Amino acid sequence: MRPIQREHHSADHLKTVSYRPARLIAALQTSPVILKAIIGSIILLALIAALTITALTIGPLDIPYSHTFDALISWIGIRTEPVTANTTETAVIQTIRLPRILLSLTVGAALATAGTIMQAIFRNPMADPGIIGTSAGGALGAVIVIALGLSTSLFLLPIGAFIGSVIALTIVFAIAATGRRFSIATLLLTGVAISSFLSAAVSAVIITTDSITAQREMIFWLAGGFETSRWSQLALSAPVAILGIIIAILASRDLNLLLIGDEEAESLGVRVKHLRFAMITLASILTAVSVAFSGIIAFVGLIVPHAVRLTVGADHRAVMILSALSGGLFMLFADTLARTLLSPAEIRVGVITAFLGAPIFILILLTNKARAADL
Amino acid sequence: MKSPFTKKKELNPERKTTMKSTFTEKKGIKNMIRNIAISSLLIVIASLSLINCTTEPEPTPTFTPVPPTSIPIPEPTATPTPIPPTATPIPEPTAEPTPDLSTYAQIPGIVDPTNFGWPRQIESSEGVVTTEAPVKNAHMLSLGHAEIMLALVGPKPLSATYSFYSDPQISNITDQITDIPVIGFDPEEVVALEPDFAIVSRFTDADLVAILKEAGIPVIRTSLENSTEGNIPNILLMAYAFGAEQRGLQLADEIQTRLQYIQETIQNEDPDKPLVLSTAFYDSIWVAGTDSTENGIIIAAGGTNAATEAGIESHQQVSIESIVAMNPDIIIITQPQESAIEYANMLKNEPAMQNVPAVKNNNIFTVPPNYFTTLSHWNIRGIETLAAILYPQIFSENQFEDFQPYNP
Repeated sequence: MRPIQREHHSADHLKTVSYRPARLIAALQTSPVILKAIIGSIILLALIAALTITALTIGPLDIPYSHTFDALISWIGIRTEPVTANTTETAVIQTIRLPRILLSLTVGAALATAGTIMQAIFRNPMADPGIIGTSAGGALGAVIVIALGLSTSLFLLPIGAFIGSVIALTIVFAIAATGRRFSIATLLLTGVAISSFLSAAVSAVIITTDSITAQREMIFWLAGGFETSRWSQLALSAPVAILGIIIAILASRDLNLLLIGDEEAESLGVRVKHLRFAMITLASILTAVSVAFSGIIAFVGLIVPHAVRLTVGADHRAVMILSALSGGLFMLFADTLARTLLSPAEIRVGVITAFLGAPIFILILLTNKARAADL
Repeated sequence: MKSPFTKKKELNPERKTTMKSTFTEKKGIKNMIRNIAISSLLIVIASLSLINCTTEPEPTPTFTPVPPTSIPIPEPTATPTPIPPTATPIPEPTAEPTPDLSTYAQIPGIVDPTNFGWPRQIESSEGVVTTEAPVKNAHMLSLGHAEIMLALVGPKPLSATYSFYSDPQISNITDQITDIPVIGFDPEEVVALEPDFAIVSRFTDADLVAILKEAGIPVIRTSLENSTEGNIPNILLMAYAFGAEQRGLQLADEIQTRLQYIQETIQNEDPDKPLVLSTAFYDSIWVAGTDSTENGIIIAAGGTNAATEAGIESHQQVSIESIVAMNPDIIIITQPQESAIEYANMLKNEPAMQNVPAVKNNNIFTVPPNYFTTLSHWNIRGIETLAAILYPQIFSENQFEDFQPYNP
């Protein structure tokens, strides 16, 4: 991992800001970190807003733009009732498209933040949110709920997935903490081992389940998606995700210090062990929340932080918030494609993230070869 | 066997020889008279014998080897047994009606459609399989094939089943396979069964088929079709493979009769066919479009498939919004009852669905998935069930029955 980039406090960098993407990225790379974070956030928020509006207006049901905005304004509360949109159109906008868009933003942001934390803590560019078994634990919890025939309730499945993630995390910590010394390498290796074990357990549950319908449900859940997003799911996941992202942003400076070495960080007042434990727990909770409501969506937590680092450098004060926003944007984009490319049929969003993520990442890598060598 | 006339010819030279020797002895008139008398007596006896031979031949041994023949010849009886007169007339003996097996000439895969003896050969994409005698141990790798096989020959030759064959939500043969062992999905388990042959569908994994063939198990691959009528050639091919040609024709006839009844009954109904959506919920919403079993059932039952109209091919995931856009008149849910009710409630309570005709008119139905998702003749029951839903005014009095288990 590259050491923290030295900040340039010259206002000249602002002059280089241009509307051309290449110049904009170049300007971001050399700007002061707070400025990078602010400019990057503004750009990403604008893109998220634009994509949200676009995503709201397209779908299997053909709804005129004016009706879409009418329903949206009504939902925001500017009007008490829609004027032009009929009840079906209003319901589609307010109860189907909006919660889905917001849930995909939430999950994308949570996964990207968790990935950023894991890569910082383990100082390993290949670390992803599920590296210490959280995703596999969530998957096992979900398939057990389905195998027991309890998945008919919309909430038992995410609850089961969340409990599975938390149990997996607890087991990994308990094993890693056994002995005289708690090392990050032990934690990582334990996580990998437990993750493999839990993945095998998931396969065993699927194979040994008698009901072919339950088997189908398990396989589809594992593929991840937002087809059945509800406001109630968002109400449960969004507060946890937003709070977790805020804590991660607040811990950015300490994560930066961790990158220069444990001893240096200790000497600068960082309680390294506590920070690691807290950050890994936080990343795991963010992952668990995501897995619980969307299934397992790979690639986002691994690729998005790298793409952000390649663009703005390795300083977590910029990387953390921009990763969260980029993760949300990327997931919303992927989900919009998932529901519109073969409309009225849907594609699993995990397929889209993998298809999109790899080429986008390679493109960024090729255009930032010099920086990539340092990361 | 020699004819009586041939036997007679063999006798005559002996007789002539005897007579000649007698006439050559000339020892006086007495002898001559005696000889004449004896000769006359012999002639009389010979004549009488000749007359007797023409009416009732005696079986005589023959030294000529008799060529084998497929037509058994009745043993001749020495004395005919008179039939006692009876008060009731004896009915004319009628020949057993010979099934018209010419249909099998049109079935792809039968190497020699004129051969109904053993051995017989079946050709599929997996090569030619020769069966030497009626099959006693066969393995079915798809539920649809197992259902067809049980309808043709019963469960006895079925080597083993899989766990889902016993799931009443999917299978139509659960009651008939209780004594059949259940195996897992390891190909080794199939190999260990040493079946005479295995029947696989177009969905069976190619690697699994290759393993079975390498293990020396003959494999027949038949293409299970999504339409019930389309499956008739498969049914007849399997009937031929099992030596149950007549039963195969009976089953095919029953399928066509049932289909014809539905189609003739609904043909005068409203030409605007109801828009039907077949759906299920397995973590996400699935609908059945073209090239699906449900599509064939919907069309045969007199409906229009809403998913097909929307461009859905086979089974695809959709969102609630897609269902709203499809705007179906009728929704059928083809999944186990408990989760089907849960899903139906979800659809009914969805705000965006409130103006969809199926919800507005309370036309969401949970149907037995075992009729709708299998690939066998049991799909007819799906057609009958759906026809009764779509046209209650016509079929309210009808009691459609399940197929009866095989009864030889």
